[in-house]
Amino acid sequence: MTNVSLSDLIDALSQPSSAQWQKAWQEFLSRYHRFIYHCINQRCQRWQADRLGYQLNDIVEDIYGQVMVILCQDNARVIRNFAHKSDENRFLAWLAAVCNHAATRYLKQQFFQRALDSDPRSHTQVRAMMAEDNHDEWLMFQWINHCLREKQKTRRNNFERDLFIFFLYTFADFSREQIASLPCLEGIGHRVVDVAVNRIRSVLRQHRFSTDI
Amino acid sequence: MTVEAMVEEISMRELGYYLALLEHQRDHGKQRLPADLTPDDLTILEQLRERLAELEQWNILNRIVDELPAYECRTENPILENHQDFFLYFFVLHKARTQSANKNCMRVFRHLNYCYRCFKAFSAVSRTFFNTKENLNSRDNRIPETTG
Repeated sequence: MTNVSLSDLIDALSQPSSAQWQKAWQEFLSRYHRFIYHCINQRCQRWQADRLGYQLNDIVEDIYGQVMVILCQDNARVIRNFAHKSDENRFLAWLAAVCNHAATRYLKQQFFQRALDSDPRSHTQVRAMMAEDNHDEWLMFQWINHCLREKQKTRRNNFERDLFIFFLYTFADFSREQIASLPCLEGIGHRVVDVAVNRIRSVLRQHRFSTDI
Repeated sequence: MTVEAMVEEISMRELGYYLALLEHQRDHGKQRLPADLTPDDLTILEQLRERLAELEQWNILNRIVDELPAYECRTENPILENHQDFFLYFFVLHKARTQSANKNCMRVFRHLNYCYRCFKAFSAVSRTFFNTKENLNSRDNRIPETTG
């Protein structure tokens, strides 16, 4: 299978009943395994994914597994449907896009999960995902607003204050003391900060699997 | 560079630093400022102090908050970026316990909750403000008060 064209390789990948199917997948991995790893690794580096507290290799392996699921499922439907089967460069660009999307989706969920589940007294915050000019962080901010404003029909009187406290705590990594000493929030106390953060988190947990993100 | 230009070019992080110095001076007096401030620092502080005096007229304070968009900023530059008047008002002049101050607080919260770019600008100023205050307070706890 070493000298087979991209087009023939793609055809063989999607025919599990074929005698060449297993060899086709071995050839595919031989050609593109390192490329897929490289794309995922680069995206993880950009997100500084080791701030999640796991080994970077473990994160990359997880995402690699998800990419392979995407490529393999439904008899390699996504590969089979690739339109430019004779164009290696386009195929690589498409494959890079698949890897980048999978990595971004995974990392967003992981960082968001950390924001929802972190003990308020912990220092592991969503600020880990804050980087300069990162469009994805803006999307997260917008999604949280959307969840809390569009999906929740009733809101408490202190909603804006509570949301502001939540953003300061999770996005800006302010301590409870700093939040409670801000003008407009003076005198609220640490307990109010904890209650506000947990209140917002409990609402967001209800929508954590929303496909809007 | 003119004094006005110097003040205008203060970055968001630097603004937090100067605001903390201003607040510390208001609370503890001029003699408690760090001795290592440069002449430029002192000039900038003086300019900000003069602007504070202008802002302390009540109708100007309300206008600062009234100008905040109800939702996110639609312009290329977010309104709070380099908005020294707002931060002078918020960190140095704000009185949290009056009724209209509560209304102003809600407007500030709402805008910052909607506008990510303004939230980032606000966070940058606040972070430096808190770090500087912490340094000043720990310094005050170590060094006895001196006159002059």
